[in-house]
Amino acid sequence: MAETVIETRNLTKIYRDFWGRKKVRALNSLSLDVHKGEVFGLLGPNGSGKTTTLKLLLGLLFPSEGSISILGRSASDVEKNERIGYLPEESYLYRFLNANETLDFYGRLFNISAAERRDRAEELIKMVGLQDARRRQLKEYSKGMTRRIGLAQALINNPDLVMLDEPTSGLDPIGTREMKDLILKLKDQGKTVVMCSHLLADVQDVCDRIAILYSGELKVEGRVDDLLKSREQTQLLTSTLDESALDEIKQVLRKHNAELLQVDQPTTNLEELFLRIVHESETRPGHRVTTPETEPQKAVVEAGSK
Amino acid sequence: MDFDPTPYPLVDSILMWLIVGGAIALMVTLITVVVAMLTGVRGLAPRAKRGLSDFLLVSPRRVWALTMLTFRESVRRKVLLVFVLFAMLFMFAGWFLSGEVSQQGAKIHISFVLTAISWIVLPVALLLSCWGLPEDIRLRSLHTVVTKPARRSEIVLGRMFGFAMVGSVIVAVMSVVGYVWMQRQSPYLVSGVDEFVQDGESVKRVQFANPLVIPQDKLEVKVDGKANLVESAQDLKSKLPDVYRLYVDALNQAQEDVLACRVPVHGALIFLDSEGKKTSKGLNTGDIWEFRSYIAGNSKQAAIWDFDGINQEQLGDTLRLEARFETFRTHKGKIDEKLRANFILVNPDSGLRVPLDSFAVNEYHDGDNVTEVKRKIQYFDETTAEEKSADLYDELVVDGKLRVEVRCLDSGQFLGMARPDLFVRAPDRKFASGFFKACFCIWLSMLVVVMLGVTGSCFLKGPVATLLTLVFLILGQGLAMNFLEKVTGDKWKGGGILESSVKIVKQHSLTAPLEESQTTTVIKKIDQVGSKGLFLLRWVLPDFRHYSEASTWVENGFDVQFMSTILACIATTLGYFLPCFSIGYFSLLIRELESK
Repeated sequence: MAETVIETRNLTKIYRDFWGRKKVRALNSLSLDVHKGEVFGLLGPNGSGKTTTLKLLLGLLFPSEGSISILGRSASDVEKNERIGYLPEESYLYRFLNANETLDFYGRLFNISAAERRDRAEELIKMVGLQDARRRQLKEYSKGMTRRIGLAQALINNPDLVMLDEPTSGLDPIGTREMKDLILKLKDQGKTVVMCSHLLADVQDVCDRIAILYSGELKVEGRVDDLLKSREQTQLLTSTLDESALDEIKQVLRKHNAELLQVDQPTTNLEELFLRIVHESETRPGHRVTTPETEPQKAVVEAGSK
Repeated sequence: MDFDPTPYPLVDSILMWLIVGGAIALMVTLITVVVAMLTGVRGLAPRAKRGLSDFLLVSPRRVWALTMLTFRESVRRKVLLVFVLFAMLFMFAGWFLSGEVSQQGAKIHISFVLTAISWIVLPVALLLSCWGLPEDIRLRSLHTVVTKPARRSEIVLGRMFGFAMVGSVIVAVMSVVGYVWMQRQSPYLVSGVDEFVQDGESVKRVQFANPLVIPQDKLEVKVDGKANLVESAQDLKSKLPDVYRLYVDALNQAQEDVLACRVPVHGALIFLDSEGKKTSKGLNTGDIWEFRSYIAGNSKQAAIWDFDGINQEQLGDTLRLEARFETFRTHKGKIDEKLRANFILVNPDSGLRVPLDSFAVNEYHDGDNVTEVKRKIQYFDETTAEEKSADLYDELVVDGKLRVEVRCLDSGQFLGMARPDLFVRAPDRKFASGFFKACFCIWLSMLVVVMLGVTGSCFLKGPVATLLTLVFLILGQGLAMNFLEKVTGDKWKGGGILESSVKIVKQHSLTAPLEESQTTTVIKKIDQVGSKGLFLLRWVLPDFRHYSEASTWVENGFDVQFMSTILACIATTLGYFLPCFSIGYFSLLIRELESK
């Protein structure tokens, strides 16, 4: 069993008004475990309590009830932050600083030496692709650029636990893909990533485990594969089949007491298509990009038992 | 202002600081425990322990990072544009200030510069410090800081130091610019320049136009009675080089006279009554302000100052006694003549008495009443009716001690004086010395405003924090502080707030006590508690009088003394550091930065 990095027990957050009267129960008795080295996703619609959970974990909010243990320490313990990187939902960085100054400032907060700060900032700026904009103040950055520098500041201390609040929000498909690749890279490096998002496809692509919240309550928690797997159906992916082949398959299925539910051409998703088009445009400028109709087809056969 | 530089009671102040700070800390602790018990908060002790450890474990590197962030933020938000406002003030101030050519004129210039610095830097410090943190919280930039290993204590310190740094730059630039501006703009008055210069083999008597107003375009110079009109100083230099040197000396002297930095050595004052007996106070001529006591003319009454620290190394061969007496006439006398008084120097051990020549009392003329006492003093001894001489340091000063007796010579007239009205004037310091000390005190007052502002902004929103700090700033000034001191002191007649209110409503005499009854007892008890609250308030408020006092000294041509003024400013500023830091830290610690 992997080491538990985050543990919450009966975590509850109630927002109160000035007179101490209960206003909103944002989180209700949440008990979660996040293990070392996994990518954990917090899912839910707006107002479900994802960001509240993240802020409780970071000590920005105080729990009304329940307990939090994060990296073996209390959420209010400042020293835990030595090993945490946090990317907030919006870009809350200091807009009057440029990229170099931003990374230098946050590096100083970790008491990182000047030489190491410089090297780390260089590496991170290169990683997030802001070499050309490093001397511009953040107020001049686009939303995507501010997300990138936000991510760079979250990684300045080479953290063991990275918390990302809506990491792909505001990014174009390329940026989204890079962000997802980076999350997987962080996972490969043995880091634990906790992200909250309402972009389900992003979560599905990178998360090992997820928890779905609704109105502040935990509805589902588990491995993504397990949660999405349909045990009543079987899917085969073959090269393109003609009608006779399909008839034969149907007969075989009937023999095994199963039914052919769907025969279809597999589709890619828009993100894949977009990335491919961008890639081909870069490698073969001036040429029209080939569409999927011109490519060899494969067939998807879905079968279900009677 | 009474210009009585009494040494700052540092030990008493520290004791009061401990008492007031301890009382407030105790009250806050009790309230916290009660609130925690009522709201069911558990684990108060471990929380307090963690809070205290965070409070003490401050990383200087992180504080420096936050300080520089704050400074950079202020600069990039164009705070330093206040210099434009300052420049505008100075560009046009000359139109309104340069008219009067006198020492009073220079006083207005000095006052203008110091007030301008103070009135620009304090509002800037107030707004910056009150809005910095709330904006940081509103824009959530602080989230990216508190989720790093930065402690709340470091954030408070970083903010305080950062804004202090901005204020320091403003004060430093403005004081240097102000100083240069004064040197160039203050009107000098050279009266009675009348010197002899060697010109080749002959000696010429040179007279400048009297009064000589500098700077001016044309100079009238008389050489041996013959008037010469020169177009400019440069013209004078080429035409009459010897006279030019005299002119430059006169300029420098005039500037030193106007932009003076007098260093007074004050003594202890006692009086002799009409029978010649020692008394602590002189006569009261009915003046409501009991600051000065009076002695009657041509009587046994006298004022006696005992000076200490009179030594030749410090003061030189010539002793300068500067007086600022007030007269009270019971009859017109000779209306065109001033009252006369004289000094008698007395050896405190042997009792040797050396009367000096009498002098006319110039009222309201600072710096004009200087009596220079040469080391060898010729005097007429009335007891032996002989002309004698005495050595100042060998025969009159004993172990640095000298007694000076003052008598009024006009019958039926009175001379009023207080301790600071007569002092031995040590060699003047450079004007820059006093001026920059006053700027230093303004800088210290800016630090207090920054500390109060940052503290307020740790638990209040920007506008409310601004209002709170402004209230502190206003109540800390002379008028409110004097009132609070009067209310909380023993001099208040008519009872406490409630008692006097009852008396007003009942149209009861304010000075007569209320009738003894249970109600009266309750009223008095409530007043006692209220009085304690006001006492606490008086000591919680920063006493900004100390800071403005430094400027007043300089405006009036004095140096700013360390023991009486600068020490008071430093102690007051330091006294606010720990309470502000603690309140700011704990406020930020218990505050949810993301609370909706």
